[in-house]
Amino acid sequence: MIDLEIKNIKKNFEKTNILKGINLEINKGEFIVILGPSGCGKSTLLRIVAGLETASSGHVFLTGKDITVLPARERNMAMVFQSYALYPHLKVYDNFSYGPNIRHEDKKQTDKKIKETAAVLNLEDQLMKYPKQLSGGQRQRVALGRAMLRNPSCFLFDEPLSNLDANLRLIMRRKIFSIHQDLKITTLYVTHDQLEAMTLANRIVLMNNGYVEQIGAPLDIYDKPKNIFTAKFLGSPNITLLDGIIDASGKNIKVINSKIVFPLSGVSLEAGQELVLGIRPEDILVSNKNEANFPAQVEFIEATGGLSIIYASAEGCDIRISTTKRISATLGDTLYLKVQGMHLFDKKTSQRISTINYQQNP
Amino acid sequence: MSTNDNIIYVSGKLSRFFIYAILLLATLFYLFPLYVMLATSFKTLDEIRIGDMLAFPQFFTLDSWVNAWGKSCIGVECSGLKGYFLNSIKMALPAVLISTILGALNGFILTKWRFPGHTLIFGLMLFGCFIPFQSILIPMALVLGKLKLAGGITGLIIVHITYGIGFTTLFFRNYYINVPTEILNAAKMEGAGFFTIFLKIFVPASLPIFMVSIIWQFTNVWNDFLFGVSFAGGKNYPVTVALNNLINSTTSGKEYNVDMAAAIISAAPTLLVYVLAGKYFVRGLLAGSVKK
Repeated sequence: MIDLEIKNIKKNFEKTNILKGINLEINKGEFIVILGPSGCGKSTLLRIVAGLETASSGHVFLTGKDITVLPARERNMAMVFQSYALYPHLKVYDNFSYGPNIRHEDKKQTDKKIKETAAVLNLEDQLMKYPKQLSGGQRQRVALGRAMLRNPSCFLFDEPLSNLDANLRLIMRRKIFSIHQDLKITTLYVTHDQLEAMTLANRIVLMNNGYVEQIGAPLDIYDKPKNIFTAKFLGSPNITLLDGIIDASGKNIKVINSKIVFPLSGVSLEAGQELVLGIRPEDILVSNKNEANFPAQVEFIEATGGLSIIYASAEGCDIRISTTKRISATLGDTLYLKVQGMHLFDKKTSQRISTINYQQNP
Repeated sequence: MSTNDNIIYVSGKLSRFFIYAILLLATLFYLFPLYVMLATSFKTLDEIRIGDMLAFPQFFTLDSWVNAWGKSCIGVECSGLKGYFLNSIKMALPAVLISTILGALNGFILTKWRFPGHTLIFGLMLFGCFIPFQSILIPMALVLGKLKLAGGITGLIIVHITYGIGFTTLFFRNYYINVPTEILNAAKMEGAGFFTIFLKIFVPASLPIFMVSIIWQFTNVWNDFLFGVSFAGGKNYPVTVALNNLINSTTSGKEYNVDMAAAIISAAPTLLVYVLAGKYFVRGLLAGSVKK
């Protein structure tokens, strides 16, 4: 069942087009993460859904009802902001009760709900403190609790974890995840952090430059990126991109300006077709001279313990490799690399043509 | 411990001593006129004529205070300052409160509820702060005449509100511009409307700047002489004008003790406001100038 529908939303600020026609259908109870680089319009889109910003054209529907021009306060949505946006002059308890009070909800009922919410968020001991007496993580939990007390038809998160340190971010991410599991309230979550997107979302909406680039389940987007942007944006370290061309025989892909050649398989392409090859860092193995596709010189190794990331150079091409093996190599050493799979993108349109998996078709 | 530390400690103590000594002298210097006024007001006229100005009163008397409050002649009327003091209260309270509330509303709208042309409106209000009082006397008198409010306290209130709005708007705008807009958005999402957000979030969160605005406006309105003498008349004069008239309408020689008492009575409310709310004034003026 479609809960929230965004139909051809456009937004111009004077002469700049922030949003260039966004369409999105969100099912009831779904957790949607809007992901994209800063300035892509994701926060603007969220604010339009919230009613804090007006769209230049297009419509927003909530359970079938057109809410495009409805003021924010009548939308029954709850929002969590990056800066927490707690009321500084009110204690935590009063921050919680402010909303229910102005909505004239029953006081006893509110009190009960506040105590329950505080228990869920481990804030029982903080209720009589002012926001400035709390740590960043506690403040963010208060903001979350305030949104929960709204009993909303829809949760909106605007980069809620960006101000927290890495450890707290992980804890809060799990908290948000488990709260969504419990409440099953439709959620729209804006972030630029791909890790949050991958771990929280039912579906990711990947935005760039005012457009939606791709919508899909996290692993689907990772495995089948629609275009070069998507392939580049998801994955850490970044995917290796090489310019390639189909050779005269039509059976091989030749990397431009190098002697590196990969066999073409699973798809037939015309000779002379220009491509961009996208190889995930985990799809490149450190192998031996006989099995390898090409040799490369080590430029830099980041050993993080569980994972080693190798930056290498092969005939002028930058290659990124990630491996769970510990590689004992130093600057300038030659590694023999074997590619297990790659995405083929059309050089002209940037769209993915096919994905080759050499493991299945050796 | 080492002798070096001791030297530093001693020289620290010594410089402290000088600092306090200088501060004490400055304080005495500033309080000196007040002492002379108070001392003179408790003396009899005879003692003033023979004695020296700095001496402590020999025959302590409250007569001049009683006279200044209720008996001295102002023009032909001999009933002291009390009526005019009341006029000033009737003028200052509404003028201060209304201009402060309007300033808060303006500041809220100009920072958080913007409309096209808000910078122009704010610019014009700021400009209003810098218009010299004298230049608007005649146009204002014409307007008050047209409104049939010339010569009365109501007209005076309107003049003070009009002149005050520029300043109060500036105070509140500069204060509210530092309140994160996301707080406003959070309240909107919770279902609050314009006045709920203003009254329940922005007003309680801005008590320091309310104090600044109230003190500033009260001082200006209470101490004003020019508007009072120009736009009020007869029995409607504020206390500042009455004080002037009292001092000028002596019949048999200057009654310095009565003049001094009358001056202190006229100045007392502003002094009181500073003593009671002065710390908020400093706090409010500093708020926003330093990032917390």
